[in-house]
Amino acid sequence: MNTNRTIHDHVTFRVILQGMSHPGKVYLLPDAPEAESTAAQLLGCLMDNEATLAVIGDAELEALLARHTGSRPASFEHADFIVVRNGTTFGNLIHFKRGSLEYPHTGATILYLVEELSDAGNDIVVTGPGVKGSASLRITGIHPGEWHLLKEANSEFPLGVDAVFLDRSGRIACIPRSSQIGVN
Amino acid sequence: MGYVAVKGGNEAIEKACQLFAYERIKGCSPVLGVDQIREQLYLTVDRVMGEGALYAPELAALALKQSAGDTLEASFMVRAFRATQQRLGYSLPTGAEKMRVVRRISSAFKDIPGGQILGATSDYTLRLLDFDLLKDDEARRKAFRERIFSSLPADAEIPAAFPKVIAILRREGLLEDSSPHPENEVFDITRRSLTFPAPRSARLQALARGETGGMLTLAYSSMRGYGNIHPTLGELRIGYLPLTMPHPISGEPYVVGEVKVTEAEVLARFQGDDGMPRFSLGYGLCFGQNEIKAIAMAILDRCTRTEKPSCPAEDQEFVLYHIDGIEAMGFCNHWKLPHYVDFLSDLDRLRKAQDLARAGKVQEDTDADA
Amino acid sequence: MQMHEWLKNNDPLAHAEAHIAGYPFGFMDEGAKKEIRRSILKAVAIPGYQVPYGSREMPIARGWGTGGLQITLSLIKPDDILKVIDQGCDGSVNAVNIKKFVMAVTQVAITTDTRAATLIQTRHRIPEERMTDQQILVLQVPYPEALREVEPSEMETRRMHAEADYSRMWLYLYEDIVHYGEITISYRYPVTVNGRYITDPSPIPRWDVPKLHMADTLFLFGAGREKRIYAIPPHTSVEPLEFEDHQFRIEDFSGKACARCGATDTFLDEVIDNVGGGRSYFCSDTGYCDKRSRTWNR
Repeated sequence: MNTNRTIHDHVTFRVILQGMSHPGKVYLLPDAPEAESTAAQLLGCLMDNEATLAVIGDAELEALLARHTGSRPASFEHADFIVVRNGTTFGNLIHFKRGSLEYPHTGATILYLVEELSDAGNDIVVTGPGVKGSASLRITGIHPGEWHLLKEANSEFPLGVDAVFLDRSGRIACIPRSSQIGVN
Repeated sequence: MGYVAVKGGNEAIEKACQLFAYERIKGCSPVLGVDQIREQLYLTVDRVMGEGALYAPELAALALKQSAGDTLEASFMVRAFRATQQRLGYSLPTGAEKMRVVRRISSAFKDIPGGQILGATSDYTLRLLDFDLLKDDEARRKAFRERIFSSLPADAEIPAAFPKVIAILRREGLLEDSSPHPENEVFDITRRSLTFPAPRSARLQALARGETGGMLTLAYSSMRGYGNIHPTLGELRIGYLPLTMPHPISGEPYVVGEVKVTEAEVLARFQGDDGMPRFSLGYGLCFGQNEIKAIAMAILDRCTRTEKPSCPAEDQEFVLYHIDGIEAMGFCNHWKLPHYVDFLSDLDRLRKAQDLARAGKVQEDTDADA
Repeated sequence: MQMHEWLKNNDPLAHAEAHIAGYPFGFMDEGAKKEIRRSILKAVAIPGYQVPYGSREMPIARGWGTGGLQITLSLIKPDDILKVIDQGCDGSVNAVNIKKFVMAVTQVAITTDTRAATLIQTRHRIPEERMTDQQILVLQVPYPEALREVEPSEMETRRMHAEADYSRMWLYLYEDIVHYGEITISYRYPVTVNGRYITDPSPIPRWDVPKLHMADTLFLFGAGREKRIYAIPPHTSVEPLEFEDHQFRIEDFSGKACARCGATDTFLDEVIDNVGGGRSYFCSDTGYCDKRSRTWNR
C-alpha cells in the first residue's frame, strides 16, 4: 500500500467535499499540476473497480483515467462518473443517469475539465442548499448550451446529476443537483 | 459528585480492558494454544468462519481464544479484520459436484448413486456425558487411534466425486430449472447495501453470513407452522470445494486452494409457473461443517422467494435484516452506553404530558402552550 | 496547508510505522473509503436523503458509532484536529473508545475545544458553540429512518420518501396530540430538510434541532448497522415537524443553571446526587462547561 497516495486521497477528498457542500465556491486542490493528472488525482480518491467511467470524446484519456483509478469504462448512459473535455457533452447530458425516485443517488457525477474558474465574475449565479444567499462565479471553457442541459437534467429534484468543474490550475467548483443555476 | 461519576474516564476504561484480559488467564491451567482450538473445537471455529465471513481457521481460532469462547465476539473480530483486507478478485463459480466429499446424505431416497456417506457426525451418538474425557490424555488417544485404524477395511476408498441427487430429479423434470432468473453480476452486500426485493445472490450471501442461532429460530418457525414450506432434505454434503480464480493476466482459471463447506439442498412444495408442477429448491451453503446452519439457510432461501409473505420467515426484510449476529449483538450491547441526554429529553416530555393530564387539558383543543 | 508542504514536514512512512501494526492510514481498505466518499458526495447533493452503502465492520461494535466512524476515517486528514463526544461529553466511554482508535490509525491531534476542532464526531449532541464553515460535524445514527416509527418495512418507507408521501407521519403527530395534549417526541425529533425529505436528525435532544437550520457547518450522518449515510449541508433549511397550534419546542430548563459553570443557556444533564432524590444540573457539553469554568475561576 502506498501511504503517500492514501494520504493524498484523503486531502483531495476534503477539498471536493468542501466544494460540494458550498456550491459555486472555488477551492484549490492540493498539488495542482496539469489538468489531466489533476483529473486523475480527483477521481482517484473516489473511484475503484466498483465505479464506472466514461470520457466524452477522448478514448485515450478514458483509458488513462480508468487505469489510474482502477475503474471500469462504460457507456455514458450507464457511467457513474462522466468526464467532459472541451466544455461540451455534445447534447448527451440528457442521457446521463439521473437516478430513480427510490434511489436518486444513482444519478451520475459529471467532471467538466474547463479552462478557468474564478469567483470574481458573475456569469453563473448559484443558489440553494450550501449557499449563503447566492454564489457567483465565472467559468471559461464551457459551452453555453451546457447550462441549459444541466438545468434540464436537474429540473426534477431529487433526480439529477451533480457537476464538478476542474480548471487548468487545479481549482474546482461544484454545482450539485440541489442548486438553482442562473446564467447571466 | 454525580458529574464525575457519569464520565467513563480514560483510566477506568483501560483498566476494564486489562481486567477482561486477566480474567481469561488468572487460573492455573496450561496455556490454551490456538492450534488446540483449531483442532479440538473445530466446529466452533467453523461457525466463527461462517459468521465472520472469512475462511481463515487460524484467525478464527485466535479470535475464539481472545474472546474467551464467545462466538459472537469472535466472529465480530474476524469480520473487522476482513474489512481491512483489499478485495483481490472474485472466484469463479464452482459446482458442488466437484467437491471432495467427506460426508453426504439424502433423506429423499433410501439409497443414492454413490451411496450415503455418513462421515464424521454427532447425529448418531448418544448424548451421554462421557466422563472418561475428564481424564483424557495422550495414551488414551493413542489407544483409540490404534483401535479404529486396525479395523479399517483395506479397500476403503472414496470416489473422487459424487453425482448430485437433485441433478437426477432435474433430469427427470421433477425439479425446477436451476436459475429461473439468472444474474449477470453478483450483488455483493459487503460492497452495496441491501435493497428490496433483494436479488438471490444478495440473499444467499446474507444468509451465508448469518448467525446460526438466529437462522435456526426463523427456519424453525417456518417448519413448525408459521409457513408451509415442508422441506425434504434432497442432499446434505460436506467436503472440500476447489477455489478457482481467473489468472490476473491470462484470465485462465486456476485452482488456488480448497475450502471446507457444508451444502444443503432442500426440496420444497411444488409450484408450476409454466403450468407444469415441479419441486422448488432451497439452497444453503456455509463455511466449514455447520449442518444446522446450512439446512436453516436452505429453508430460509426457499421461504424468502415467496412474493407475498404470510409469516415472518417468508418476509425478506424481516429475515435478512435480523439474522446478522454481529449487527444484532452490537445493537443489543449499545443499550449499555449512556443515554442520559435522550432520557432527559424523555423526562421533559413525560413531565409536560403529566402536567397537561393533571390540568385536564388533554382532550381539549386548546393551545397547550403554558 | 498544501499537501506537498505537509508531506515535506512529515515523512508519511515514518508516520505509518506508528500505526497499529498492519493497518493503513484511516484503517479501512481504500475501496471502502472510496465507496463511502462517493456516498457522502451524493448525500450532500441530495440533502436529507439516505444513501445506502456497503457498511464495513469496524473493530468497535455495531451500534457504537461505526457509521460515524466510517465517515470520519474516510475523510480525516493528518492535519485535522479531532474532537469526539458522547452525549456531549469528551470523557464518556464511547467517545474515549473512538478517540483512541482514530488516534491509533491516523495520529491526528485531539482536542476537547469545539472551536479548535476541525472535525467533530458526536453521539446524540451538537456542541453548544456555533460551528464554522471550516468544520465538519459527524453524527452517529442508530435509526436513520424517521418514518420507522410509523412503518417497519424498508420497501414501504422508501416508497413514501420517493413520493414525498408523509401523511402517516403527520397523522402520527396528530394522534399524539389527541392522546397527550402535545407532541411527545422527545429526542430524534423528525425534521424536513430543504423542504423535501423528512429526516431523522439522530437522537439529539430537541434543544439541538434548531442548530441544524441554516448552519454554517456541514453535518454528516452515518448509520453503520443500518448502512445509510445522509447529510445536511450548510445554509439549508431544517424545519422540525409541527402544527400551527402545536409548535415544536425545545426542552425547558427555565429556572435551572449549571452547578459548575453557572450557565443558563445550555442543555443540562439532570443528576440525582443523593439518596433523598435531590437534583443538580450540569452542562451536557463538558468541553464548553470546562471553558466557561476556567474563565470564571480566572
